[in-house]
Amino acid sequence: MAYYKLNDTELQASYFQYAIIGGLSISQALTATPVVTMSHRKIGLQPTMLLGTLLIFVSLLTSSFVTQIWQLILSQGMCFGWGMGFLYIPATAVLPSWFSTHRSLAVGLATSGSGLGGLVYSVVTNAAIQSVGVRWAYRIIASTSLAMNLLACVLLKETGGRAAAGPRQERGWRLGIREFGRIEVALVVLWGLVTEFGYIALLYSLPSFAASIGLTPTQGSVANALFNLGLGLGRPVLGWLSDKMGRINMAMIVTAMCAFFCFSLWIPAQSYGVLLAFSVLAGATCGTFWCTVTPVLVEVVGMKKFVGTFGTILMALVLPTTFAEVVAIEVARVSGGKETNDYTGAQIFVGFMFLAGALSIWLLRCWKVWQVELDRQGADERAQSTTVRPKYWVSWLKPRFLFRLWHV
Amino acid sequence: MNHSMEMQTQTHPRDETEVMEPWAALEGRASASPEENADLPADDNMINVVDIEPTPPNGGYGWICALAVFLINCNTWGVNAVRYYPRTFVDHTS
Repeated sequence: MAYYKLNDTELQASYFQYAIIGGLSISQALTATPVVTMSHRKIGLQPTMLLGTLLIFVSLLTSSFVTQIWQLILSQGMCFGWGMGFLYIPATAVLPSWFSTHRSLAVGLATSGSGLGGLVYSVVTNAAIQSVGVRWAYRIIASTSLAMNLLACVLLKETGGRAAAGPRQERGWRLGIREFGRIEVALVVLWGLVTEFGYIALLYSLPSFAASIGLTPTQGSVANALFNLGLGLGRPVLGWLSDKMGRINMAMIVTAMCAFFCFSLWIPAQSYGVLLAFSVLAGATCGTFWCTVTPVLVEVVGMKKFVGTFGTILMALVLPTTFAEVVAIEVARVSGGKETNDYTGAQIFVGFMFLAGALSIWLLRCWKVWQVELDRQGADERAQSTTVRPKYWVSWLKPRFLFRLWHV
Repeated sequence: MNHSMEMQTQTHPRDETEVMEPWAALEGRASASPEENADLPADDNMINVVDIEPTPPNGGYGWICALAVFLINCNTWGVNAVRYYPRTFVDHTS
């Protein structure tokens, strides 16, 4: 889509409009959640995913015929976003139910597709645009993604016990606003929010940052490719480690590591080598939320309520992701009131966002430790405490829970 | 006879589920679905096992499902990410 700006003179539009397209596609994917969940429940997994495949195909195909920016907004923004929602949300919700101890590894492997797919698609699109032009490149992408999505629709199935939709299962699937009243869900939402901001800001600024420190565009695209490679390779490793060391533990450690890399590697990066190192490391650590949110959520609310809570959290992320890219533009390019090449503001922003994310996960971990200790105290203690439930909101925030080294 | 019945109630699986999932105690129990009951021996203690979350397969066809989700991620988030490449233009007014 960026190539339209470069190559087609009739599609000039402001940065804001292009940024809105990007934000729109992700946010529409998240906004589609209630519709998608209902469709999943009523018409089943495969018809829902086939609908998503169709929407994505239509969106990419029509993007190849657009002549006005508003048409591009509709096609690549909204239609693609809805298609993505119909495909991604049921798939992500179904996968954790297939695994117990290997859950994080499987989810890590599955989400590494975004990094590797981004890498392959960017290389292919680059080559295609050079040889056949933007419009045909869109059609090529449309057809390859159609083929792969159809294959995925055929392969993905739900686990047998879950397919029979009884009334209790429907209740677990319901998107509840009351879920936000539970502090652990609010913490997960907070974590998602800040890391989304950081992630999108990072994603956006990294390409142009290369140009700002004097590197050639080729070197910039290599840095980008390494970033995606880091995304693709880091997530399975993260998943495997999460199974071994505890899901919430690893989510916290890796989010903090990303903040650390931002502060230590990105801000002083003035040369090609350091930037490459940062790209790979940041790629491996920054996409933590999407990679670990499903196993962490299962840890937090349990398998039964997972689908509903997942949907709720996705809906809570709609507004942030719509405007995250616009925020990223403002932070990255307009430091000091005018456009500069100084990315320090963006770097600090991203670093602090990930730091805030790590803090929220730390608090979530503290809650979970409290929960686990509550379980370990056994049924007899719970039978004794008939009168007063522990104060829900703050009783778990004790230092001994904050610093306990458990496998959560 | 009475003693053995007491022993049974003390090691009732329902208590163990309450310990593991405190919130489940508030939500109530899921109804047992026929598929899950089919393989279990008809035993008083075991009937309530279906109230616990069904054991996931933890592998097998699950890895194929992971591959399917991998492909989906490639095509949704991957195509989405192409937007960011490569921002060689710096001045948006041109």
